[in-house]
Amino acid sequence: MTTLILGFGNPDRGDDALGPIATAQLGGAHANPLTIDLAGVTTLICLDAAAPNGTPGRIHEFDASAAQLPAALEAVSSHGFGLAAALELARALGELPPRVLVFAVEGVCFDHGAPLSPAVAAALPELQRRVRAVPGA
Amino acid sequence: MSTRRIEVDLLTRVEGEGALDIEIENGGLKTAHLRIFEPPRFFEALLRGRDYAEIPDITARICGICPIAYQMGAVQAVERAFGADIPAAMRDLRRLLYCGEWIESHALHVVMLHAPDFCGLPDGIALAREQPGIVRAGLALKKTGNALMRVIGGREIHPVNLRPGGVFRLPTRAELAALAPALEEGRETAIRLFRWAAALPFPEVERDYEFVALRHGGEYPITAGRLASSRGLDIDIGDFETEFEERQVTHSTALHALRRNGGAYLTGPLARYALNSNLLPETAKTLAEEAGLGPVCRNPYKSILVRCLEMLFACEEALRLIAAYTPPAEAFQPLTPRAATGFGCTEAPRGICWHRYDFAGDGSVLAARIVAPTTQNQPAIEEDLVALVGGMLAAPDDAIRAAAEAAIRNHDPCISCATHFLRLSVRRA
Repeated sequence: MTTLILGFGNPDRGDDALGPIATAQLGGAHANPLTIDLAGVTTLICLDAAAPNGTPGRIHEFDASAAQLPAALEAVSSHGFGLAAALELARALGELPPRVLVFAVEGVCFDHGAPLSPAVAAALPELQRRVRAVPGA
Repeated sequence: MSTRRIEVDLLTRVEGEGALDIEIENGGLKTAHLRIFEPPRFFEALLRGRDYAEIPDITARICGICPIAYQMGAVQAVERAFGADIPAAMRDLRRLLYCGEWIESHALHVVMLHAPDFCGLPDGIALAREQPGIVRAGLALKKTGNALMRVIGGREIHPVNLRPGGVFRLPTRAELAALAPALEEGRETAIRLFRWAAALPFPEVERDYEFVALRHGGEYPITAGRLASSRGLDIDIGDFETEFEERQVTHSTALHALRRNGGAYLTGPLARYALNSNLLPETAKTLAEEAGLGPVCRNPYKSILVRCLEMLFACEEALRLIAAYTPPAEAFQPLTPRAATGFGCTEAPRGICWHRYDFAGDGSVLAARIVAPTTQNQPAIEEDLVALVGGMLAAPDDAIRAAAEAAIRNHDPCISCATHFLRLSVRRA
């Protein structure tokens, strides 16, 4: 059983750094969604920041092996081809790992050069606990 | 008076963000504008005052798909300004790197952006559900192109290895030889994609383009050659400004490049092919003949076929260059800055990418000018739209919208590079 933990986001843009920081703490990789090799992976765990929705630091968990990520995450231009599109392409090609979990933490500040906001930083221990509770992680 | 306005607020399957406005007045087409609204990025101003050595790392950031085009034009311009003579072995290594960019960029456009238009599908993901083998083939080619970029350029996106005078690090023979099996498979994949694409339903369209491309004479052009056109132009790249001009238009944050006589022209795969198809390898010529493509193709929809031929060519060329590779004696040669102007021009996947830099005596940049392929293709794309929409004015808005978007995608516009691009709006009056 192979588990891959991937973090998404720009480390230099405030709460967008959630993915890379949390992944580093968990021993995973900072990912470019265009170049992920999913061969042999049985559990894929994706860590990403989510757009503000009123509760900074709130952890949303999606089981992408069961259903598509919310439509709000879709892009139009190829320049916005992100995690949701990459997962759907893998699903269409029959290459989606059997188990795919997406943890998305609501951010509040995405300024250039800004650190994690206090609410998002405070969510890191709980995020780690939940990821480590995934069988195989 | 009646006005009918058809709008596409955000064009899909293009690189970057643009819109389309079509205005129909009293049953006749009034305007068809490709509206580029991405904010300008001021790269040319960013470069002012910077040292010549910093240029390729700044210009690489213009595009994540075709960064090599922006780096290669820059290093060529520096080398020309400072009188450096780049040895043939270094030139070959750079050409090999550029093959990687052609393969990854074309593979992305052919399968994920262009092919869905011919299959009545909304996007590459839908195509992956219906034709997984084709999408897998395209993605495998993209991976091979990316591998070339990574091994020679240091990484797939915004490579870091090019520098004025040469490269920072020479790849070893073994590192390049390890890429050969994937390129051999890539060659077969490109042939398979061409044959699949050749059976797609193509609209019967012939456009009277003035094709502009590099012409080298001895090789299918990538990094070198004179600027040539299908109407007799044949100039040194340094004379670009005497034959071409850029104009500001109110509906686009990208400049429009035109011939000095005001005429639109087309650069990119169709232009390269029209001016150089005799220099393609025999395998590509045979395939073209098999599909009835001819030495010149004026049907913009069939650019998908030419991109497949160019992927085949790039795989074969890369294999040839790898087999012949002997590392140059030096990774780079030191340059001596001087007050001078330098020019660079290469064949980006989307067409010619022209650079000019004026340098002070200490090698700092006084002025920079970069003319991206999409800047040059916008007027020709708008002419395609006028011809297309003019022939289907009675059609419903949705039909016009879909057909117009497809016509734009024929040319794989890279809006972000040009912004200095699509939503469609049709106004009917």
